[in-house]
Amino acid sequence: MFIRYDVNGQILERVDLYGPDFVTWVENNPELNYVEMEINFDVRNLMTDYYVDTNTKTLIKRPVMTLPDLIELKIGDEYVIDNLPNTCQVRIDNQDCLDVTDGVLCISADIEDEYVITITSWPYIQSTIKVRATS
Amino acid sequence: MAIVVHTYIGYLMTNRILLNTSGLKISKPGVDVLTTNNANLYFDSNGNSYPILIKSSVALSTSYNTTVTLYYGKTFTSVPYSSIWHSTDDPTTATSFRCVSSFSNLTSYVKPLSYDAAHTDWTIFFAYRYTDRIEFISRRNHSSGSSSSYPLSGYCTAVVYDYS
Repeated sequence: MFIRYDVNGQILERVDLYGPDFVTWVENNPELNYVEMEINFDVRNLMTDYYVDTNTKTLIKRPVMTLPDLIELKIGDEYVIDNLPNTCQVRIDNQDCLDVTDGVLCISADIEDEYVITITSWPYIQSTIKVRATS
Repeated sequence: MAIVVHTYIGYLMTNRILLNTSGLKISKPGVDVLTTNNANLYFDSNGNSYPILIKSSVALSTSYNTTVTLYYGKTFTSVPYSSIWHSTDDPTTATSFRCVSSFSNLTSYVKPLSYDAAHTDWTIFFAYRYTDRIEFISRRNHSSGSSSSYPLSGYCTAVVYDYS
């Protein structure tokens, strides 16, 4: 199997069937970042859960952020998450976007509702937290 | 008993058609039907008659109007036939695929749809077929009109056939 990845190691493509001409073509186009590898049968969700270390050209499982699934919050209170990756993007209800640069996110709400916070930081698997704000 | 039909390319004679107790096989020009693999057959009555050049899967971009390219590894003189499927889940383990475009060489766009209940939107992406690649461009069409934000992620698997 061939895997093609981008500059960050994110897997863009997996080539399952190909002929000898394709191998030659890959060798002649190194800038496209194809790497040939045997995939262990234990690898599931290759394109979602793995990335390529661009230095060693090996397959690595994407780390998972250790975060709560649900945060119950009283209006006026503040909940602090201090174990985010140092640099990450945070979206609230898939709308607002802010950059976290110190690994700390302070959450508070002034309206009773449920919110979905999405945290993205490569190569971590995207994490989603539901926030339930009550009075 | 077997019947083998030869063709001439220059001064070289090539076995192109084989009819025996196993069935009928027809190879590509210049390819010996007695020794070739399925990829170099025009026809095989045993069912292995599609000369598959490549089978490959790409992860669609989640950014609007962003292109992800699937390369054939060769350049054809005309756009080759290919079949394209879409899955919401990683194709490694996906159990459900939507057929986007079966056995076509159209260069115009196709519009597979997938419903995302969380955002009440429909995924649209375009698959432009070229002589050396397929380009998948992520779009989204909101139920109440076009939208340019947050295309849904997903995967496309393509099988490209080589009849050249």
